[in-house]
Amino acid sequence: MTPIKKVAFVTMMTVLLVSCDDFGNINDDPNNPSQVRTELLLTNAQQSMSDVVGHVMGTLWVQYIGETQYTDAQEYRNPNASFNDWYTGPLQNLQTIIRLNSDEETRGDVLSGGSNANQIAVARILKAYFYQMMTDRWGMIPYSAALQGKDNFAPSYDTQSDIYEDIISELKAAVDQMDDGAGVRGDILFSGDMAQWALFANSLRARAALRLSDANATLAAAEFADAVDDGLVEEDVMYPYLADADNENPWYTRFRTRTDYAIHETIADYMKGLEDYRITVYANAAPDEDNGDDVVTFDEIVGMPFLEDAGELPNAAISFPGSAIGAGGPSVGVQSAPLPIITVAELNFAQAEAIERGWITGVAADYYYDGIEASWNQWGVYDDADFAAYIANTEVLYGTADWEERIGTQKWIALFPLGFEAWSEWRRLEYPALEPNPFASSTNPEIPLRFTYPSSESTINGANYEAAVNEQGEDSPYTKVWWDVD
Amino acid sequence: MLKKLLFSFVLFSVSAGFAFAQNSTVTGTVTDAETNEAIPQVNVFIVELERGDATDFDGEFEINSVEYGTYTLRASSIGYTTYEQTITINSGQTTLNISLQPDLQVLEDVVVTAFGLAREERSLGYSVQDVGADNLNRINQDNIVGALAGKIAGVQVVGSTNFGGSERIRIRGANGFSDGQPLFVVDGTPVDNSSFEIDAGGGQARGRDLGNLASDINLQNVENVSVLKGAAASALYGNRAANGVIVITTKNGQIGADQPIQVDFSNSTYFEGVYILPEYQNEYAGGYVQDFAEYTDTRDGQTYLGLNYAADESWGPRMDGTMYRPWWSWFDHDFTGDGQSDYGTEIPLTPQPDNVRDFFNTGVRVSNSFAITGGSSNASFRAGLNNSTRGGVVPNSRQDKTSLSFNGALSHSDKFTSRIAFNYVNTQSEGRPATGYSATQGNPVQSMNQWFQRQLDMDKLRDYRASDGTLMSWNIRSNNDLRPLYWDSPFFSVDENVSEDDRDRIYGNYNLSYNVNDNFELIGKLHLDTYSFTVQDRIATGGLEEDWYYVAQRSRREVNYEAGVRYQEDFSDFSLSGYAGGNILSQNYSLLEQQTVGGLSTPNFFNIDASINRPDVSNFNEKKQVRSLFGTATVGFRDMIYVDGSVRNDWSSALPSDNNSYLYYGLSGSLVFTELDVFASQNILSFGKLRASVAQVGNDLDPYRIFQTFNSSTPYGSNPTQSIPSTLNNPDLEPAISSDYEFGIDLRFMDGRVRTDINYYNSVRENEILQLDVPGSSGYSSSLVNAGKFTTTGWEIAVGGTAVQTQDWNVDIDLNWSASTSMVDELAEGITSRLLENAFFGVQLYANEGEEWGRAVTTGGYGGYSLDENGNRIVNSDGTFALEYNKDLGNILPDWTGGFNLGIDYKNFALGTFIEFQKGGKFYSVTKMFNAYSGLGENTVGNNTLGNPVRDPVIDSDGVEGSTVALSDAGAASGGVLVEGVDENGNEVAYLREASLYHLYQFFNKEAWMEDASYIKLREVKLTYNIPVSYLETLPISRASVALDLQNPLLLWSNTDGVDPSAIQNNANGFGFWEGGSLPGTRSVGFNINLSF
Repeated sequence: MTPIKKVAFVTMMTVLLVSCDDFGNINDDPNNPSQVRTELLLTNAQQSMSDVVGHVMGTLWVQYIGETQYTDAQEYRNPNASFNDWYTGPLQNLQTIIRLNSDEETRGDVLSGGSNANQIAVARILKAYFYQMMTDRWGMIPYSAALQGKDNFAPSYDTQSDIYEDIISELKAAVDQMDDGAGVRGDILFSGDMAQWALFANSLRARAALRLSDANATLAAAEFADAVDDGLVEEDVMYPYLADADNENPWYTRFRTRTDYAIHETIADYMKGLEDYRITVYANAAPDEDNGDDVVTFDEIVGMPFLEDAGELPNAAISFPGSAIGAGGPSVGVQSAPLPIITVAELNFAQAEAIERGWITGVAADYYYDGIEASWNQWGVYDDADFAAYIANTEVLYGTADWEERIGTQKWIALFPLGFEAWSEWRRLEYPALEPNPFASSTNPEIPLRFTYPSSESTINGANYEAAVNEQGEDSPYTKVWWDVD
Repeated sequence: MLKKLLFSFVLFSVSAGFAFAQNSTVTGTVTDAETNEAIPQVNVFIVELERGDATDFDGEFEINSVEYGTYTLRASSIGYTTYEQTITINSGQTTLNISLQPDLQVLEDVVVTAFGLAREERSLGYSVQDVGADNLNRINQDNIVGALAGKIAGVQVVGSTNFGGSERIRIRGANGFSDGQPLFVVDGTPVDNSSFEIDAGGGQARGRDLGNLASDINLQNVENVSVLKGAAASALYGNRAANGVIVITTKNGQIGADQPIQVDFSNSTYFEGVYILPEYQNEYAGGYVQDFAEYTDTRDGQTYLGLNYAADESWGPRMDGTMYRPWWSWFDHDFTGDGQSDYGTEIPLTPQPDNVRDFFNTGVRVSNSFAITGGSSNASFRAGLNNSTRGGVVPNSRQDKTSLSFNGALSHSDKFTSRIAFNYVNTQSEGRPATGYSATQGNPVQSMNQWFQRQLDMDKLRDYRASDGTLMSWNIRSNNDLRPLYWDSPFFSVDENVSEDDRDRIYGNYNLSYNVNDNFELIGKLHLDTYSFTVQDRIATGGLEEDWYYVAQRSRREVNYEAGVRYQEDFSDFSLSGYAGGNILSQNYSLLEQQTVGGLSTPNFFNIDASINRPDVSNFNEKKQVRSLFGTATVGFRDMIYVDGSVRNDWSSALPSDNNSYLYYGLSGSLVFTELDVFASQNILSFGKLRASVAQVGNDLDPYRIFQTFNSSTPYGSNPTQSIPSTLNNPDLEPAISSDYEFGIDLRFMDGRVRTDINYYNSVRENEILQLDVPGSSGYSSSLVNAGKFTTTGWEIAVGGTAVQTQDWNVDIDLNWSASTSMVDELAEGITSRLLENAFFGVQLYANEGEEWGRAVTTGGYGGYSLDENGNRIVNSDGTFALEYNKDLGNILPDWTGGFNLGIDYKNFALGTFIEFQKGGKFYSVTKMFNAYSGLGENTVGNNTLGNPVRDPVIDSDGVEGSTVALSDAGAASGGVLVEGVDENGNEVAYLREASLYHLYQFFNKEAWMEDASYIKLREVKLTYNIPVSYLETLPISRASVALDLQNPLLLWSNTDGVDPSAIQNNANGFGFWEGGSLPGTRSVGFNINLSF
């Protein structure tokens, strides 16, 4: 190339640059789809239900489970938790499903996920499910102003009474809007069976209404009766784990390499004392007590007590949770063991209570015993003779005079290992009478009554956080949520 | 070429070996060539004889007893060009009159600035500091970032103790909200310095630190490093220069007639050993309680004393020689090598003070380099070959680096010149140590410093596989459940969970220039940096963790096309120079990452095919282009005043298409006031310059951050899933512009023997593109926005001097010091705090509005000491410290940093030492925290205020045992740790608290583990002996030297112990504010041979 040509080339390159601010499609992301399929969003949102039913914290606070070595959580040192992931995860997915099925421009594009109405209905039901769990944990939370993206980076908080009212009406409206079009796709709970979804929504509505028994009895009575009228689930709704590392039971994961959790002494001793056979599947034999056969007996179960220095008690001396809830890790646990979302047993106890409260008619004792029986069946330990002996215990035998204690205690046993629900019902009914960990942290000496807000709220949503604290009370684990009335 | 080489050897051999046995005296006078005045204190020296004299006040010298012959005579003095002349002595008296030219170089240092423009330092209106090869690579080092530590004012290096680990660099305080890393440029080629890691286990567990990629730059080839600190200096590098630029110039040949061919060879061999380890206690064995455990042996039905093997702490029985069953006595295996099973063996429980040290090897690093340099009237070249092989202190860790480089220049005609630089580097590593907390691959160092039993005999752990293949570890669950609970044998982890990585990298440039006439030059350049990086990792079958295989393949290519025109012209009083051009930057990056899920179908078959469940596969591709036009011009007046302006416009593909263009400029000036007449009549201040600059740098962002997309998430069985990304992209982003101003003064005294340089700077970054946290309830956890204001101000001072210069002695001293403050003036509307990094267990790093960047704050259920209004620690009635939550525990940035360099030459000996220091700054030590928590540390033993062992039971005056007792109520024999403070009412209180509980509760008190990062460290000592030429006469060697090197010989002072505060970078991309699980600091001794032919 001659020098002149070179100069020309260089000049040409320079000239080429001058007008070039057009990069074509170079900034289009090849790594993430710009299109979305609502059925894929639904599956993803449902996967988050595992984090509700498999969560540890509630199980520690209601003394289902005890920590074997590192006892921070059961010393109530961590009542602070973040609610952000619920919003950015499942709720955002569900909101997007609703938006895409509502928007005139997009509703025609997302029919592979089911009819528009059915998709919206299912998304509303699941939103209500997640929101109830959240408000039960934190009390006031952002609700009506939430999930608006850049339109509102400072969502205000709603009162719990407003949230509950809306959850209940959402659950009802969702069932009402279901149509005969295609059921939802990507549904890992009911495979798109909309009738099942309706029953599930009614059951959640009954659960929500019952929670308001002391705070808004009028609404509770009406909605509970209506929900029962509309029909409740007749089979336990379980989270379907898979024998696959990405979708396995979280208790299985916890025991994959470690032994951080044991069955708690409180529940173990109580159930052993009553010869409640469910404890033989809730817990494994303590190695030191194990007689070597496959059958777990009451004698072989040793609960984990509260200790100041938990390490004093060797692992071999205590019982780990049973494989029925997935625990035990490789070769011992069951990777795909399902966990309860809402059960027939729970709903039987709820109806027994509703009868006592005069919301519906019926025989409370029948629902109570049906609840226990359903639970024994749920855990596969039902035997006529054992059951008869069990319900004959004076502490189990139903009596209207002390229905709160009976139902509270039996519900506590039956809800295992659904910690959050058991904790909420303990707060509402005050039964069973749980003693706090005597070695609890000096700042938080009692069983917490709520979770405190994530610390990020005070720094990035400060004004709304302050307003919520003013309305609800100090951001402490001992500020009662609205429905928690003495 | 080989022929030429051989020829020169022959010539050399022939010319050697002639000598005459007659003597002469050489005398003479040395004068200044310009003034003709005599110069005192000039060294006049006959090179071959290593003898000479210094001139007296009359400039006269005399050298006696010089044998007849031909010699090189050298005369040197500061401020003058060294004079050399070949003299032939063949009579009894030889007289020489020497006149020396004043050396302008000393006062007119040339530095390399943007675009590789070599500029006289006097013309610069901003501060540029450079390090030559001698100081940079005095000690053969692997990582250029570490080699810069302390050598340049305003440059802070956070080192790493990890084998081949990432090291972080901060120029002038925190580099913006995100504390970005500077741009590395080698011979004009931007070179990627990403840090990667294997993030096994996800989240905080970490995996292995794969190092920062600038470590590919071979220090042996580096001639000079200039650090462009402020915007003025770096503006011309465009958007990536906002965090400063490290400009590296490599060695090259010279074009010129009769350049000899020079062949250089060097070898260094280093031996590396562990030097900083925590102080361990050697009194109590493993366990949670001091009672021995009792085990019934099912074989003989007998009951034996044992330990709680499942405990990974050392609160166990006193090591007093009691006979017990060690963990290995429960395995039917021969551990002792006597041919018999050791099942049932009882041994005395005795201390193993060196067990941790026994785990480590002596690391050996051997490095060989070979380079040929040469030139002719129209060409020059330098070819280099380097290989280094390094075995780390952790068994089975190895790194092998081979690099090949070629620099050449060819002058095609008077006007045309081509230059090429080509570098190929291959880096292979095997067995990189796992880092971080509870890495799934197993991190033995974390175990030994945080979760361990002090009585363990390391040798018994080496044999970790039983004859049937099952794994054996100390941490068995019980005597009849021999599975480990928390820890595999450390030797299993390092021998079988082995990572491998292999990177091929090519970088270099081609540069064509055409001189149109004396004033104009056209330049075209092509710069390339590309690599292909494959990383594999594995967890072997049978250990605690599920077996696993991982492979990641990364490749990246960056090409810069540049064209420009350079202009230079000198008028009578004025000079004018400039450069204008354009650049196209094009980046391509891809990552394919795969790992098995659910274990391996065939034991120890490490392949993605072996994944039991659907393997986790992800691929990622990225493309970006930036197009730029720029220009710079300098006007000089009488070598006294210089004014410099630059302007650049970038167009970035990553920005929104309607807002992707941004313009920024720089303006600087300097005044060499010693050129003024008033300074002419003095000779104390030989050079003085004032400088000032104001400049901007624009910045863009990574690609694909504009438009909404969706994530593909974990499938449920055969159902695929999608989710909404938690970061909201923003189509309305604007380019970010930061601006800087700086002032400086450069003073040199006594002909440059004393040099000082003082600089003040102020940098303001506004509207940076930030990924800002937003309330999650909006549906997003963060959003990309333009926000914030960030100001950095600081001082830099460099002082240097030649303290002694005589014929035999030369002593050079250099000191640099800098202080900076990085203030977060504003975040965004309604947002006062930005989370930067989350360390393990309750300490987070924040940028808080109105405070200095980098606050360490406790979070969740963790706190710091709660103090009363008088500053006393409040103690609860149970003897625990009351805690204040969300407590600000201080800033991680040092108050000031610096380095001290001392070079002493005596005859043929040269001693170089380098000390680095830092004052202030804090870091969080997870190592020290768990070292105490687990009862491993020396601070968990000893006697308390009553003179009793702290670990003895706490008893009250009635002899009742408890966990806490008021000191006033304690039994005379009570153990326990003394806790002193005040109660809620301000009354003084004192308790004895049971030792293990004391340390357990201190885990919640993060303030106890925030350490002061101040230190003074002797980093390098090198003693060189240059072999006298006379010894080499009969050899085909022109120069030879041998050296003894010490690297990190001594941490002279620090406020903490057990960890090295200068090396706390423990993962690839953290901010260097906490440590834990990294390797202990090491010290190296090396030997070095340099030969030139």
